[in-house]
Order: sequence, then C-alpha cells, then structure tokens
Amino acid sequence: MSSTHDEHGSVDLSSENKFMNRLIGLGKIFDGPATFFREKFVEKNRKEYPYYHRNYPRVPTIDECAFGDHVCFFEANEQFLRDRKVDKFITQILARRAHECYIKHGPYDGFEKCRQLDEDHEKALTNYYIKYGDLGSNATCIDAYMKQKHRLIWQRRNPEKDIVGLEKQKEIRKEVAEYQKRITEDPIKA
Amino acid sequence: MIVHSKLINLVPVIAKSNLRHGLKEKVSKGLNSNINYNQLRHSHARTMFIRPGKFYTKKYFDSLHFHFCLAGLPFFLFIAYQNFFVGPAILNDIPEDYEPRYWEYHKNPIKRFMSRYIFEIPERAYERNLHFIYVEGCKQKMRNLEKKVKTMMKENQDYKAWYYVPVPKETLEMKKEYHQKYGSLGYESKYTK
Repeated sequence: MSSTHDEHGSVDLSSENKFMNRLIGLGKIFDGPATFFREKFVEKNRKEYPYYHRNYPRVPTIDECAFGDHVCFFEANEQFLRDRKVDKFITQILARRAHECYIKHGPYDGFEKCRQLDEDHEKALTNYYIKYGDLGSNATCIDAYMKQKHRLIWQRRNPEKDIVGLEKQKEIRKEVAEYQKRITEDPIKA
Repeated sequence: MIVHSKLINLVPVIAKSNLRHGLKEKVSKGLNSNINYNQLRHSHARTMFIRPGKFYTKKYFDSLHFHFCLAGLPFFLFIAYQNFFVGPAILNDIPEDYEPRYWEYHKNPIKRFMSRYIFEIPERAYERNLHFIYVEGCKQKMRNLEKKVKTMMKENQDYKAWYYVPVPKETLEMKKEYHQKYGSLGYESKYTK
C-alpha cells in the first residue's frame, strides 16, 4: 500500500505503481491551488502558538483507599475510566497495524509475516477482557477490583486449569499453517 | 399610393384558420361564416398570460436572505477571519517548570476564547465537586450513626431518649389494678381455646 500511517500526520504518497501515481497526480490538481493560497496569504499572517495535552497525575487506586473515603473512590474511578479508554485505543492501534500488514502483503503472505502483530493484538484483547470485560459500560473501579479478587481466588482453588488458553491457540495456528503449506506444495495429495 | 397595413385586419383570418387547434370557442366557418361568434371589438390583442404564482418562492428566498445576512454572514466572516489570520494551535510537549493555563489545552482559537472567558475553570469545578462529595459522605456517616444508635435504644430500652414516652404514675397503677383483676391479656385464655 502506498500510504502508511507509522508517523503521526505524515502520509507517504509514493509508489512504484504507475496507475497509483497517476491517481495521486490527479489528486494533486485539487491540492495545488489550496496549497498555493495557503502558503502565500495565510501562513504569512499567522503566528504560531502552542496547545498541550492534559497530563493527569496518578492518584491512589481503589486498593489504597480507605472504606468510606468517597473522594478517594471518585478520583480512583476517574483514573480507572481513563485507563480503560487508553487500553481500548491501544487494542485498536494494534488491530490497525495487523490489518495494514495484511493489506500490504496479502492474505497468503500475511499469514506468516503478520503473525507477530496478530499475536500482540490477540494478547491485548485477552488482557483487556480479563480486566474490563463483561462489567458493562457503567462499571466502577470496585467492580473491576472485585472481579480480580474472585479471579485470583478461583485461580488459587483451581491451579491446574487454564481458562485463557493462549498456548492452545498457538498450537491451533501452527496446525493451520502446516496444513496451508502442505496444500500449496501438493494440493492433490493433502 | 400609400398602403397602410394593419395587422389587426388579419385577426378574423387567424381566428378562422385551421392552425388553431384545440380551441374551446366556436369558429365561424363555411355555412356559418356569416355569423360572428367572436365579437371582435378591435380594442386590444393583449391577453392575460397564465403562469404559476411567485409569492411562496419569493417569500422563501426573502426569509433565507434575511437570516443569512443577520446571522450566517457575520458568523461566517468571523470564523473566516479566525482561520485566516489566527489559525489553530500546534501541539507541543509540556515544557518543564511550566504548568499550562486551563485554556491552553484547546486547539481551536474560538474554543480557547470561550474556555478562557465564558466557561468555568475545570480544575475549580473538579475541586468543588470533590468538596460536595466529601460533605455528602460526612452527612451519610452521621445519618448512619444516628440510625444505629436509634435501633440500639429501641432494642435495649435503657435510655431516656428515643422511644421514651413519659407516662404519669397513675396510669401505671391503673394498669396494675387491671392486670390483677383481669390478667395480663385482659381476658382469661382458657375461655378462648
């Protein structure tokens, strides 16, 4: 794919494809007058001034709050919701990366080359589900805390059982990869 | 010889011609040609041209123009000025030893202005909300404590406060006499079973 989104705000509009280049040139016909106007008249009359992103300081989490301390709970809840949003965006970014990798290489090559990105995405999703999943949109930090408590108790009582099954997923993926290889090498035999 | 041509003399010719198809009026031709159904008075040849009305379209465009000039154009000019000469802010990292003011977290200059002069400071609102939460928590605790004390007084009946009804001693004496006479129930239970 000609455009990549690795850097924020910059898109790479070059490619070896002639057709793609001509399409990009057609887009530049619309782009030309706008950039000309901007550079001549607009940029000269403007002064640059900054804006910042809010830097929220870390506050004590719910496990450090005393019982009956509603202010502490409120701040911990706000932090919890912010963290949930951030984790949600992280999973989306990883999904976007894997998707772009597949677009670039195609579905056949992507199965080998994008596997690391796929695994990262899947791990992030499972961890997100472990922490925030099935609590609902009106969840509080106490709900997540209790969920963790129950999960640890369950894990203590059932030490051998594995509910996440990451290794099983790995084995399944390996089998599928081997099957694909066999199919391409000798489609009639396998 | 001067010839004055009057096209008005062609009117009866046109009236009788076959080119005027789909007429509703009767045209005198042939045997009836001596009868004039159309009394031509040679007054004028101008007739009313029937067309759809223009009132609603004109009214619509008039009100549109009115609202655009009153509100649309000033706001458009204001926003255009802001975008040409002021422009949006550029994202920077927060430098050390500097705490940005509460309006410097916005990108749009109009939003910056509004957050600076019109809306309230978010940090102040946040702290005020925390204060209200604390006060309500204190009230909650006091109410819970009072409830507990009340229930204990009700159970133990050892305090001259809640659930204490001062009664004159004469009623108690009367009650004792009644119990002596009739028993604690007021009747004898052996007669009810």
